[in-house]
Amino acid sequence: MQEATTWRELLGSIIQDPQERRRLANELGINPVTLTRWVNNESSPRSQSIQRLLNALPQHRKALLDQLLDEFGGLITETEGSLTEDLLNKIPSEFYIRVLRTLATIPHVLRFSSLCDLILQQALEQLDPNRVGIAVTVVRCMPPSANMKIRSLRESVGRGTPPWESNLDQQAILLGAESLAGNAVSLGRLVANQDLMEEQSLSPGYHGQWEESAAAAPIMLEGRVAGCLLVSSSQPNYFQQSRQTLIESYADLIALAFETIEFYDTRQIELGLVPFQDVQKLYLSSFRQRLSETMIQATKNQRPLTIFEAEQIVWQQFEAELLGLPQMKESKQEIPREHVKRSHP
Amino acid sequence: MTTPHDQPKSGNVYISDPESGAEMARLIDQDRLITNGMGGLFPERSNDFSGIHRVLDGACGPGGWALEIAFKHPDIEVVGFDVSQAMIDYANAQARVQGLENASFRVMNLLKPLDFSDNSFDLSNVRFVNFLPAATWPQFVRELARVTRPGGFIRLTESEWWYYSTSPALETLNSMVIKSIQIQGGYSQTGRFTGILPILGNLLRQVGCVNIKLISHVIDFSYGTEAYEGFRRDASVVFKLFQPFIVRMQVASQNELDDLYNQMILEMLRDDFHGLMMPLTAIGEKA
Repeated sequence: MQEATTWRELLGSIIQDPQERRRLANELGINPVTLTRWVNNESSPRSQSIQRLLNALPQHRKALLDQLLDEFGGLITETEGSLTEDLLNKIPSEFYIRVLRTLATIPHVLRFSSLCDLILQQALEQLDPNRVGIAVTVVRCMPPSANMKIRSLRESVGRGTPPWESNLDQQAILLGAESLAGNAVSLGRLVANQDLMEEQSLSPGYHGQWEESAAAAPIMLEGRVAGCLLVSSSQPNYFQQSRQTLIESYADLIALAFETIEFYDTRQIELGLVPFQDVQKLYLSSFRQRLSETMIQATKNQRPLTIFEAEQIVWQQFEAELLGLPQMKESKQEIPREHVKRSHP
Repeated sequence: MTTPHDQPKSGNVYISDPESGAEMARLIDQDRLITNGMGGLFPERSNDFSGIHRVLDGACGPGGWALEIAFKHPDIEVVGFDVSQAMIDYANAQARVQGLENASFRVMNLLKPLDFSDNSFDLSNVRFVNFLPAATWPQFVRELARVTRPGGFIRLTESEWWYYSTSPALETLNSMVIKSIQIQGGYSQTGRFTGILPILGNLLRQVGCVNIKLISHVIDFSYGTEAYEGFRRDASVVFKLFQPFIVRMQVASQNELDDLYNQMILEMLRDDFHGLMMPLTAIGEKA
């Protein structure tokens, strides 16, 4: 191959391989056509995309940087490059300060919802700056059953960028052992499925609407687990190492939203299999009515509940009903394939 | 949205703590809900930003509206300011992680002379500061006019505070907030309305704007609508965070507020809950 004299030529030679072109586009969170435009000198990347390009092609980093410097001169430097790289892979310190300050001052009743909201909004912006489409959801352990085992997880606060809706709270369902989230909670470590369309994948998780890849990181405190942070992307192979690290950092931060008693010994995690989303939706259609009745009854009994306490009670009722459904007593191998592969609604 | 009241006698003059992360998270959600509900960033011109190169967003809070413009229009420079250091730190951090080099945010008080040159913006925007004392409005609108270039736009968006709904508890809580604002020196004459909407156009006229238009928007957040869950959540946060303000103004006791709050939560859960928000935008061109 003739040696490229500009970064555009070098990039052009790299993306002659369609697979590499697709991979790069995913890594940079851009349309593949944009790569072609750069090569043809029809447009130029923003500094953030330049950094991602350098990160995505470590073997060409030096050559690319030299040639980029030739074209953009003082607009980028190696030092700035490192700073930007930090920025992409780390949560900004201002944000840690904000979360800690919020924790110190927030009314107790808003602790979980407002902290999750604050953190998820930040995660959304940082994990999807180019808005290619992700959903981030806090998944929490359901309280232990009578034998002190955690039998399922429930989606709680969720936020998304298009094609997902911005607020996913109303689409919450229960997740079980068959899910990527269940796997992360059971193992106590991040798990990712880079291609949910891949039928032969050894990774758990199943293909929800718009969902091409997903990662879940456990939310932990002192080795105990409260749930996980589930992130879904509309792009395959979206969860490269830097994004996985960032998701783990956000999961660590979200631990602050939980009460200490909500963290469980991993030996208590014995997730069952929960029904299809469609089946759950039928049951959950009465959720609000039950929630309202639960709160009214509690008030009548002179023991008023907050909406969050009432929600927990109603979710427990649904859990008991859904895990008791006959088909859920089947083994995992007997669950239809499309069910086993689903990781997110 | 997080600008303080400038009343020395009143001690703490904030409706809610502007440094609170809960308020920040709420404002980010609210911004998105309202911008979507109003039909975009600049619906009065069908979201057409042609001829606009530099935009000012006053009392910008965490910067949602400004950041969205910066993302969608890389050729437009957007400057936001707010009195809250926390909001500005957050907005600047957001601009950095999103790689938005055309957005910047500064700490500045809307109620004081602005540190910008004359005629330096093509569009100056302020939204949802209806809690500000009446006496401060003409002064800050004059400042907006000073920094806007001739032919540029000044855009003010406000709403009644702020739910029209079928929930009696929500209506009562609203009235308590308005009453508290009246006590702090707002435009309200009766404590039943904030009183700001009828005078928005005149505020623009007084600073020499022409081609003034008043455009109303309707956001339906009744049960079953796309906006419902976001507004329900916003109400559950805002009427908790604003309670200390209402108590401080001696409009209601904490016990009364606790009962009303719980009642509101229940009423908003009902299938027959209906609610509307109706923001009004006044926009004029600087002569």
